[in-house]
Amino acid sequence: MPDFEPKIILFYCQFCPDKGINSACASNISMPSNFRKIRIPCTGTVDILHLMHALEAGADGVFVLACKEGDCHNETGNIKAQKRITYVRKLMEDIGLEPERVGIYYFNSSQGPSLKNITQEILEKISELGPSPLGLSEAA
Amino acid sequence: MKAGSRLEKILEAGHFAVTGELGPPRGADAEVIKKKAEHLRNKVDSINVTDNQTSVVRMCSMAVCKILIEMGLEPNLQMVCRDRNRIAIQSDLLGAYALGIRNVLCLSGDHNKFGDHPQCKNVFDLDSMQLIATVKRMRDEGKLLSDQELEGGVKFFIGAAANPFGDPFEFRVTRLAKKIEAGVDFIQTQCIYNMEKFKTWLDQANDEGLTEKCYILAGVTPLKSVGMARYMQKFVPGLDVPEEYITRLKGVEKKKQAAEGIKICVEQIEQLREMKGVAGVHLMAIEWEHKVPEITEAAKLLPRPEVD
Amino acid sequence: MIVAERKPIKEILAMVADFKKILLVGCKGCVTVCNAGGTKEVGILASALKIARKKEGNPIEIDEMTLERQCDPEYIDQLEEPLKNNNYDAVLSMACSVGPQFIARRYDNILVYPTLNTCFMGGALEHGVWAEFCQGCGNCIIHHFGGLCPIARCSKSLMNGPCGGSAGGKCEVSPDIDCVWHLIYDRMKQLGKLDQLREIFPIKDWSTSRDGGPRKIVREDLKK
Ligand code: SF4
Ligand code: SF4
Repeated sequence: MPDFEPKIILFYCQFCPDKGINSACASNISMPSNFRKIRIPCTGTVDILHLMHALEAGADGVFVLACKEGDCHNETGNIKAQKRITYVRKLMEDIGLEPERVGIYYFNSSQGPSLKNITQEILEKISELGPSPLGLSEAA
Repeated sequence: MKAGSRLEKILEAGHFAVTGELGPPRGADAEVIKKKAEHLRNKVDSINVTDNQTSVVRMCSMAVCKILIEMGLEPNLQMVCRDRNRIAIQSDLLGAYALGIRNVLCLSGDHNKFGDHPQCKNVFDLDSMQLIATVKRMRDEGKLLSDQELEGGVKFFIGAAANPFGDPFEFRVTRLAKKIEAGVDFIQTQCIYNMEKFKTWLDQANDEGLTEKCYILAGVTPLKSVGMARYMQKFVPGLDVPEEYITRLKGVEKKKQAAEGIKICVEQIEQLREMKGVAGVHLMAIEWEHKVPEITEAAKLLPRPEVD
Repeated sequence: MIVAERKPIKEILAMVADFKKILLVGCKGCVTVCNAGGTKEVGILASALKIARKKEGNPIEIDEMTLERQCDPEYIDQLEEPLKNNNYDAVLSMACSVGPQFIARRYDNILVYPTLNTCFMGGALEHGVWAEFCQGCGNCIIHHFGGLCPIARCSKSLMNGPCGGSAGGKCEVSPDIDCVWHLIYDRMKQLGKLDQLREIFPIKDWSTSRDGGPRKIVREDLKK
């Protein structure tokens, strides 16, 4: 599918990942345009329902950019996010939607350059999976 | 005499009693039972017949008891609370007595989770303590739990189990005291491997005068192999197999492990016989009934005394 | 509280396989507290069902609603309007299984399905972990056991002490289950009341339990 442009929703924490994204921009690495970024106070505030609704709306992938383990400003926000991701992935599996469409990445301010690797990895993963069946049926 | 069973007479006469155990088959073939039971003839005073042990469906204990009676052997009917409510329990007891069964062993029963039907609904209307009291009431007062007078009483010699190795350890002698108060005449213990711990339990029981109020038969099971010893050590809750026996079994060639296991068992019986408060042994040679003659012979338990 | 958990999604999907439009009703009582059937769980389930059905190209319409309680007729009455104004194929309840029965009892023209498995009466040991504490035997006896219930919490409901399988504080049934008899022993010892455990606890009268048939409580002072 050559002209498949994955629609990705990216929830990112206002702390480390935000700084990371800024520093990445400073070094001319920008976020691909098909990523919709949503800045949140802490990944601990990402709710299962947010992730579900994004998928329901036809996103091809839904990801969370969290601070590294031990770096969360609210101590365990990133751990909570990880557990919710696991919950949603299990739910996806149960209803027959690829669980790989949902995931979490850890990222901090000093890692500007690796942002490219992360977005690259997400893009590759989702391109491989193809468009979300929900997005398709909407178009149809 | 409470029931006049052979077991009761042996114990009353002050002989060191020997009871054996027979697990009913997972099928309806009476020949299997007869073959197993023949190994025990004249080697033990009476034979426990397990009641769907480990919650695995097997031939009914009462039917097997009847087959033993027909063979001229004396059975101990094991009865668990897991599968029957008080209606079935009392009804079974009446039937058992009518069939000539005189010894009953009252047990709570292994949990159904362990068996071949873990999906079943369990009962536990009574617990083992309450079952003992029920049998005693039927025997001594001639009444059912409903206060209904029995037409034709039941004279059972009442037994129960005790596990000196269960936790909390300090409560184990209290449990024994309660069983005696509930009306137990004899106790068969869980298989003993940790002799030290058993001795501690027994000393406490002696101190409290409990061994004078009921007969204690010490449970022994010969270890067939290192594998079996390890299994019992690791996976049977409330069983305590000290490492020293495993080391001993490991010390001989695989082929000779069984013989070593029997040797250990014989030594244990000899030690137990010396202990004050032990009135006999309960030899549980599970699926090893044919070794009972050899073990009882080596432990100088033969010939079994005559009583009438 | 009553503790429940959601049925597997596949089971629920099979229930609604033939439906196009349903009403999913949560409850703000116990099942909200145990995170099984409150507003949020209703949202998650609705979303999951919609995703699954959309994916199959057979979308389902789901209206969401959460009642104050589903075990009181006055709240069940609140379903009257939505049921009248919509052509629902069925109502799915996310309350404990009292809820769907109250809905079925009140509305005789609509199919009702449970989406939770109602498990036990218990409480939270920690966040996300619940355990059973009472079996509703109808004649509470826990004061004889240091305030701990041997009926609900002993795997064999033993009333006279631990069975032979109690090991290291754990029940023979599973290392995940505390042997309540070990706990009772420790507590009675702490309270200096071990003597009480020496007494034989008599046979229990189960007629106050489910064994006496479905139960009902009538309070004349409150009845209108
Ligand atoms: S004794 Fe009965 S009422 Fe009391 S906690 Fe146990 S099951 Fe519940
Ligand atoms: S181990 Fe404890 S909780 Fe489990 S059945 Fe035995 S007494 Fe009851």
